[in-house]
Amino acid sequence: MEKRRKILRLLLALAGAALVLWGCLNGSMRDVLVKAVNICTECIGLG
Amino acid sequence: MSKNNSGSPKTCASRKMQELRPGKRRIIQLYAALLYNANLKGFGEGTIYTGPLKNLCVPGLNCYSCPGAIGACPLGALQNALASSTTRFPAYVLGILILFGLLLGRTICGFLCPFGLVQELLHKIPSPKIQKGRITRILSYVKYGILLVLVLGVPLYFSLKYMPVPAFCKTICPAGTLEGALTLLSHPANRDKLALLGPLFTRKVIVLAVILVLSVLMYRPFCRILCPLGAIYGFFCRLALVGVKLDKDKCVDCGLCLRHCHMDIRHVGDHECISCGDCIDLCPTGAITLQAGKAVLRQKACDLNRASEGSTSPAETDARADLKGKRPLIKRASGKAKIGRILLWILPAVLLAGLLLWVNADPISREKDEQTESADVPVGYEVGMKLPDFSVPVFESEEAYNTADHRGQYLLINFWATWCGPCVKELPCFEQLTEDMGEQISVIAIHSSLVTEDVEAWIQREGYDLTFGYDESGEVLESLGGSAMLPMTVITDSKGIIVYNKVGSVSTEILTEILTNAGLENYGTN
Repeated sequence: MEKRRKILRLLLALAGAALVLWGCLNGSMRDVLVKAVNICTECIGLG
Repeated sequence: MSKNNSGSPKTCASRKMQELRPGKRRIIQLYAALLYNANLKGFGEGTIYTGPLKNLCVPGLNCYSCPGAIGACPLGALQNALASSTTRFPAYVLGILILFGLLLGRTICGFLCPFGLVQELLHKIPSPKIQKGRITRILSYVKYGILLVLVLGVPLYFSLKYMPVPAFCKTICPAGTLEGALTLLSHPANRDKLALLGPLFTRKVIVLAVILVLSVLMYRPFCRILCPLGAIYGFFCRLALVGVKLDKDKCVDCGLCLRHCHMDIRHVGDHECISCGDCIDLCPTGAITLQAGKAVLRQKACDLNRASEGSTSPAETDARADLKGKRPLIKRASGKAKIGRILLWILPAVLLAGLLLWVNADPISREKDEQTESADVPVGYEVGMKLPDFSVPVFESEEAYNTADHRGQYLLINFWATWCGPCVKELPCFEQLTEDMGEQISVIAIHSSLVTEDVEAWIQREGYDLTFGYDESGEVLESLGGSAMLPMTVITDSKGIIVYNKVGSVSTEILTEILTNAGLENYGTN
């Protein structure tokens, strides 16, 4: 059980790292920046 | 017990002071809150941080529209990423959430979430308290429904219509209202934004008020019932490296941990456990520890003391054996360990101090493409001032849009972006107005300099009968008084005098009224 957990953890960690790297390359990281540097009027209830 | 109760006033006072002294977890929570909101000058100026650190997501719930926020909110980023998922797979946010979950799981809730801290502090206010029970346990599953519907479902559904809708942020998120709206609106520089307040704001304030009041009566109501981020991290409860772990061999099923836990756990370390560690000292056998992998970060205090003093009782022998099997990070008496402990506190303090200096002292500005031909920048953007001429390149056309070519017409200049839901929602109003009013008006919808997709392809796909411009350098928006808020609409009369310049959504009725008041009398057709 513990061994399976370790393997799953490792696989997910690799997947997470790969997704982050892919995100840096495919522009989805930049999408985060674009939204974050603008005030989201809906999010703060201003319509 | 009686010894503790009787005592000099000085002893009572020092005991009270000790009770009030923040524990390590509280210090870490305060540290995290300050780290996430290191842009202190934002509170002073009523603006938000727009620097490169906002590429990074913070682990806890912290609205990126908060003036102090230096990072992106993972929940807001996820919703926006899903809203754009038809054009780009949201790899980055998904990867970040997986890594956070694997590393820390719901320890983030217990140690690194500013809104969790707010609720805990409010809970300290003396009042009758609502205890956990079957009802609160059932209610704890509501957050999974919110995750499924508002965080995943609605943004994905509207992504098919190419309209970004961050449904959770829009309808529920109290962090956005508290950290974003109230802090921004309370600043004198943003008084003009008060005109944007409407039913949405009222609903959000009511939600915030209910949560804050409930926090006094109940432990962490938002975390237990509504928080979809906690729901996400809860999926990693069995895999997270850092967290509270239960040694089943030492557990005697006394149930003390369950009875005293404020969260709706079924067992220590399950998906409701926020790894606060309050159960560690309660456990009679020392079966509960806070661990990072195999390393023990915290275990029952008396076990540690007795083990190091060489006591011989069975439980204490077990505790020593336990210490042999694991590598406690926190030891007593060793000089090297003391240095390690000091460094453990100094390094984060140095990081925080460095970040505060860098973010608040250095004027961050986004790099501008110096090779871009800068648009003629008009000066004077307030109502009553003449809008000087400017030109912007136009999508699907080789000719630029020049305001000088439209003298005698009422100008409607709308600043928008494909990634802005309210902006996309109001474009049909401008299209309708163009149809209704004909040659008397000229409408230009100018896209923000920040693009996340092929805007031209988006325009072709949507098929609006409008002129779409592009503010490549962002100078036109800035020169008309715009900043980090969209949509923004500027309207001039036929003489070029500005009659309207505001941030916020508009409707056909509002636009018609403004134009009518500005002197537009007859409606024409094309």
